[in-house]
Amino acid sequence: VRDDVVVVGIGMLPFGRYPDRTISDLSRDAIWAAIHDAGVDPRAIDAGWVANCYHGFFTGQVDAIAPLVFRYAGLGGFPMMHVSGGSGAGVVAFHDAVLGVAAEQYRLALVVGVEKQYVPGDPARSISAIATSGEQRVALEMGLTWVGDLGMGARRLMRRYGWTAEDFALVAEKNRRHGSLNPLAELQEPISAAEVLAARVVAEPLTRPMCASAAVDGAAALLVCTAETARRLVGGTHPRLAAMSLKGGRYVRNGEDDTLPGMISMNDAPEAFAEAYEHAGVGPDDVELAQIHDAVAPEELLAYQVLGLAAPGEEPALLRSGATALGGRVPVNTDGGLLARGHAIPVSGIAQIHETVVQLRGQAGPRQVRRGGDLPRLAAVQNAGAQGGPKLGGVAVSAALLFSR
Amino acid sequence: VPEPGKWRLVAEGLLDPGDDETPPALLGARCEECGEVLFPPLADCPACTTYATMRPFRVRGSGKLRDFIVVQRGPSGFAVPYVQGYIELDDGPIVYSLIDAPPAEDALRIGQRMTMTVAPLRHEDDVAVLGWKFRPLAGEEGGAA
Repeated sequence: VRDDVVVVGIGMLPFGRYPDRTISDLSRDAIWAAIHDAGVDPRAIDAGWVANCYHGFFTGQVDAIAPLVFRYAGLGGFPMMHVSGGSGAGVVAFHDAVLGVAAEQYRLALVVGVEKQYVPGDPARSISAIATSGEQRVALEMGLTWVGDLGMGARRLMRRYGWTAEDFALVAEKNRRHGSLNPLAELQEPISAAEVLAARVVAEPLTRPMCASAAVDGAAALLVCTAETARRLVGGTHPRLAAMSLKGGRYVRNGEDDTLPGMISMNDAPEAFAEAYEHAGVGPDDVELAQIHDAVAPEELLAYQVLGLAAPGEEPALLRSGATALGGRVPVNTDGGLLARGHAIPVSGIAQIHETVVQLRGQAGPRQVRRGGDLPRLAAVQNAGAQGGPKLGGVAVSAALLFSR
Repeated sequence: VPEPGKWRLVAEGLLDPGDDETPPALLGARCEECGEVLFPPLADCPACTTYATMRPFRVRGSGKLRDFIVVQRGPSGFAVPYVQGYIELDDGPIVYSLIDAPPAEDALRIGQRMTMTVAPLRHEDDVAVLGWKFRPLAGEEGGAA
């Protein structure tokens, strides 16, 4: 994609529990926050995408999600499009908007993610909803859960590399510390690694604080255009998309599985990042911060490997060196990640981009990343979502995004 | 198998529950071009990307335990804790399955021989939803008692 697509506006509600508000109520606040942040005339918006996965599951309103979101914010007169795709949905919506403005089909595109997953008194229903982002007949109906699938991958990697539950607890401790500095995070209170290890077991060795909360609601919005449009509409300079690579899981032949990184969300990420680095003319050493998909803590460790930040097996050493914490060489999940921010599933990818823009603008306050005295120049986003079955498909989308100042 | 009218198969066309003479089998497919065996079955081969080359193939319910995990939280209808696992079947595919074993770390061993049974996975009201489960082969060292 051409390299002058920028993000000119961002808006986001704190992730949390909003049992008394509709998705339209949540998304309108995020949308108008983005419009006010950009300082644009909202009548300049000429395309809108919304990422939402489970509104149909919970309410029976399966379709017309886009008008529910945009019309209820008082907007109209532009094409309104809806995408799904589990945790990848937010980045898919962003991807579509980027292509729309880069092709000059649209000038100013609005990208929204919104979801309500918190079911008061019935956490199993939240689990059932998010399980529909995987294949049903041989997975969900058989009892497979995302935590089970990711947990089995983590256990395999523990056997392969010697990773420990304490490593996972240190990831959670770090991200909860980052989240305590982020007013938009669901979980504001820090937690020690010892407390993480002592917490309730969800699936051995994963304890509750090592797993992102799925019982959470959220909304976030972005405004996307070319740098040239931004100069005319709002002036100034804006964080730029330096590279974007989306891959989909390929069929893995019988007996071939052990050549993969080992967790479904990461299996196609090396290919995506190789392409993104090549397009941007950079390498892993140039990455100064990263937002990665830590639905469970072990995914963050594996991300160090697939982004090229650590050699296979060296991930815990990188973590324990402090390099991936705020103040380190390459802080990861500066907003707290999914573990602290919460995982309103189709919103998470947009929240990752939101945090990236905040950091590149220098608006992150106590969690601001700096190299020397300067703001960071290059930030990475890793995201993935939806699967076609434990054997037949990896993820529908595995995304590598690079942003520069 | 529960009494008639009180059960249904988890999905049509995936499982032959077998009888006194025939062991249960998974209804998979095999590519007549490249030989890849699949479960669940497809019509078109994802290994060699060829149209309409997959033929019905009975996938034997025997294999090795590849991964397992004891989960304490599950979707609606599943009684927790329960054991999830992946079985690497002797015919090639890796299949997801509930594991019929006590929900304890020391009840199972990676790599041990496993065999398939047909059993209730969960209940919808008073209807048992039947599907495949795997359990350690009797007499296997490290297997469940």
